[in-house]
Amino acid sequence: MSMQDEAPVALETRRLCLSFGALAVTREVSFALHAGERHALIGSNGAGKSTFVNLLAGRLRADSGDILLDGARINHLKPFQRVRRGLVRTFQISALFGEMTPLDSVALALCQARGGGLPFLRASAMHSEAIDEAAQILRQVGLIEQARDETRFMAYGHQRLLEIALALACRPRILLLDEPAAGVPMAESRRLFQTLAELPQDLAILLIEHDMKLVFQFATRISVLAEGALLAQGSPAEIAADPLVRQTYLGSSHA
Amino acid sequence: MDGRSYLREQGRWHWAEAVFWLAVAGAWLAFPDHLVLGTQILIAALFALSLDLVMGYAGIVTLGHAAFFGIGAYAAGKLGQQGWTEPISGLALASLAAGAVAAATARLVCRGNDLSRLMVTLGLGMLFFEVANKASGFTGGLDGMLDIVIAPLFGVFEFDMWGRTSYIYAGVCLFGAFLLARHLVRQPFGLALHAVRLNPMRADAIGIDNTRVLARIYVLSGAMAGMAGALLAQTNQYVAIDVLSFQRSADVATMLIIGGLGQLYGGLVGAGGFLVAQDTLASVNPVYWQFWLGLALILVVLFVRGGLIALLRRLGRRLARRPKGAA
Repeated sequence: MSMQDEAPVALETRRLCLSFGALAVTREVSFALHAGERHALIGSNGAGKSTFVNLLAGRLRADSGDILLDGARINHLKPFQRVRRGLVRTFQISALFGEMTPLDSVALALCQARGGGLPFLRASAMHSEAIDEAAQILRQVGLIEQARDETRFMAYGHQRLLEIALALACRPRILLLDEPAAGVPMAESRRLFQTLAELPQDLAILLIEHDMKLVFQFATRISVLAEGALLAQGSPAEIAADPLVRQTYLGSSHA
Repeated sequence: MDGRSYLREQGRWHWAEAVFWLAVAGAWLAFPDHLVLGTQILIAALFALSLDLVMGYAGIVTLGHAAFFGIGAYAAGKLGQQGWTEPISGLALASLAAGAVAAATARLVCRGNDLSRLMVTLGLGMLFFEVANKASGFTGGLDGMLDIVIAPLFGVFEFDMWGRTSYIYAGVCLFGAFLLARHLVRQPFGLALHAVRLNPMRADAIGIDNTRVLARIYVLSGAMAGMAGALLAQTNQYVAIDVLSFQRSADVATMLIIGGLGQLYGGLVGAGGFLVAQDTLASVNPVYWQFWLGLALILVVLFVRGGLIALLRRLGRRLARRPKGAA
């Protein structure tokens, strides 16, 4: 069908289910993310998008079904173990280290990605390299001016950029972005998507986003969630043409 | 921005730090009649420093840290009592013993939330106290552990009753532990501690194994607390069961909080202030002591973020600004 189908599957779910009490929030979702894909996950509020990301990242445990990373089942892995395997996420509501500087936060994430363990002594060389590289990442996302400010005093738009920088520092192969531009002023949102567009081509990205203009610019493939179930999947053109999607979801915003 | 110069700048010693340590050393000459109290302060400061690593940096709220202090004290005392009188190896062994017990209990404490940690550490503290009380054949129970013999330091410096040797011995141990702590909290490991305390969920999401990081600092802190206890046993050549008491855990937390959490110097300054005030006030009227201590604790927690150290910093900054304004 499209080019991505030939790239290997990086992340896959098979009939993934989760309920909170009687409420089914994820229903038999079978989904595949290919290496290098730019995949958008759309759906109305409460469709279960963030829940799905939390399942993928390991913050929530599925009731049934499987999650496979490079073909290996990872249901049992904790969030930090998934991060170490290259499955990295950002948060819809900024979750940062308020009293640390962006420079220290990003350097810490880099040290984790490099060392895995935490060498007590002799870590200085790694640390200073990590700081150099952290400065580079902060420059890449446009935060070098704020590198040594305390995070909690930074503008919200800058905090959102730091979310991305932190995720990049984890050396992701798969990046789950949960509404990265939510609450970000227009100019910075453009900057943010420009940064995303410049990321390495072999990185697979799953993006949750409400702004359909941004979604259709960014994504090479789109999945639509409704009431916890996958309603449709396809290329942007296919999704735009899908009568069911138009009726239940795009209908309102594209009218 | 260059990583190496950034780290050098971060690790640079402030002149006030140099003044502080010179004062610690100078006190030996200045107060020859008060070196016994001075030694107690140094030991309490080491204990408070160990607590700062878990409570101030890692955010583990504990009310049972005396467990490790007590284990270190009993281990060092037992060695001295059984003929292992060389102080430095005794200190190291006692510290290892406390670290080992910390390692055995780390998983219990490091999981869970603040309340469960508070209760687990409190429970562990009570448990060890009662074990020491019942095992009176080994510990001496309520009578305390007697007949502890400690050989002269390096075979030369006798532990005299005025605390001349003890003060230097405890001071060097404190300074060594402080250097280690200061080094660690500036390492990626120290940053990881901050991250876990500030936002455990986010720390998890950048690949940090929260439980493991907390367990490591808990063990290190336990060993350091054990060293403080061992110093007390060796310099007093006696171990009372109150080394394991809840009061000791509560006192060290009070010292640290009044001094200031998470700044390394907080526990040191807090221990000094606490013991000097206790020594002068309690002889006047012990009721007053508890009253003022309680009041100070409440005021600091509610109004002075960062304790005495933060106040001193603010004062220093204001003094530094004034001459510029006048000129």
